[in-house]
Amino acid sequence: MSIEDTQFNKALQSFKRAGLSVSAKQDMKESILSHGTQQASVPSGEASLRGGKKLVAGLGIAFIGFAGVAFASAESLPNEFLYPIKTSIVEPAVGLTQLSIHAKQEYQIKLAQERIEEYQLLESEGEMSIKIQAELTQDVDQHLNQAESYGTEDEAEFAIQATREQLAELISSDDELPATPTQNSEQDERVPMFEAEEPFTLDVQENLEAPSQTETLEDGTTLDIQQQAEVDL
Amino acid sequence: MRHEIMSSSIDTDFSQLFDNHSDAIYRLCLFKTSNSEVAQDITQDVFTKFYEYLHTNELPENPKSFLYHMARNKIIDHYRKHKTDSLEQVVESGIEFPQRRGAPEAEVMADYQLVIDTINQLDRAYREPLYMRLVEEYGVSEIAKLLDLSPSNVSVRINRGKKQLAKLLHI
Repeated sequence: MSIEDTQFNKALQSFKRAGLSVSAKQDMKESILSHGTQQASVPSGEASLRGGKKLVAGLGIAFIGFAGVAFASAESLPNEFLYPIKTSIVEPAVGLTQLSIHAKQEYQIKLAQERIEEYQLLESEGEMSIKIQAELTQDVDQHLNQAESYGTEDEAEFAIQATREQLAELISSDDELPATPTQNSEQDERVPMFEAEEPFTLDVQENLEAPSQTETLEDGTTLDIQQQAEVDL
Repeated sequence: MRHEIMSSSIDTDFSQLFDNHSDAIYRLCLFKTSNSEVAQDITQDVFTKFYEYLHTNELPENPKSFLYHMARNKIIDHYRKHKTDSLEQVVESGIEFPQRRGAPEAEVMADYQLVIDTINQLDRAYREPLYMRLVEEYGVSEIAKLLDLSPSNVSVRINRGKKQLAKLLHI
């Protein structure tokens, strides 16, 4: 396919303006907010209970209490006390409800993905430590190995591979981690919502930041970046 | 009462973040899936999950980065769940879908597809950094944070990606 730069630049400008239409955006926001309201609303009301009904109600309350803990643990992170309930009780229990091999495999991949999300979250909050990293890495491996044991169809293989790559990227991007989690200090650089910059023009000679160190890329190439920057200039 | 005040604060935060970032998240999904309706669905999933997250957690330090990570995970999730049919396959099957409200016109979509196809001809490692630079006009340090890479690595990837792109465009 032969593309001209003017054609590409025109399409690029068009893509930059791509976005949800005003009406679609409004509908989406309203739908999410109303969904959240429904989820946040707690049924209230008092009921008069007698005799055996109290036992049933008690059991019901105990069940709701357990379900509540299980529900609350769903969003817990490795450094929180509900986390073991999630990984040792809730997730294996849910796993038992997956009947087909395909469903079991999907569930294991989903759990691996959740561990990755937890990893990213802890990292972004400055709560990651060597210990938690090791635990999460081991968990991801276990779930992916389990998923692989159910077979490797194209889709599953892609998802497993993508998750492994994501984990590898996360680990490789971590510099020295503390043995125990530490909070980000006030001096941590915060990314601004929008960075004021000159609009992009397709200029291959553009002088990008030229770091002065050697970098190893994903393909194993070692590159002297200073040298690269000089070549580019 | 306290619950209502908290909920109202969450709604305000969410509303602002949605207004600021929904288009960028939609574009990322569009870039990754080449399908405006799927992109719209994934965008809605991302923000729904984010809204639920805000009810049980503090606002993340870097919401933009957090949303990007969620979007990328949702996209992987999408590929895992659905066998992706190419547009040609769908057309050949004779299935017609009614155009969704707010879906881009065919001509505009052709422009989007040209950008997507062109960038996707580059080496995999260069695609996303270059996309973020060209389309979103993010700075190197911001891209580094969004992609969990070092700034120097991002810089090199963008540079090399641009060279490949220039070759493709015969510049």
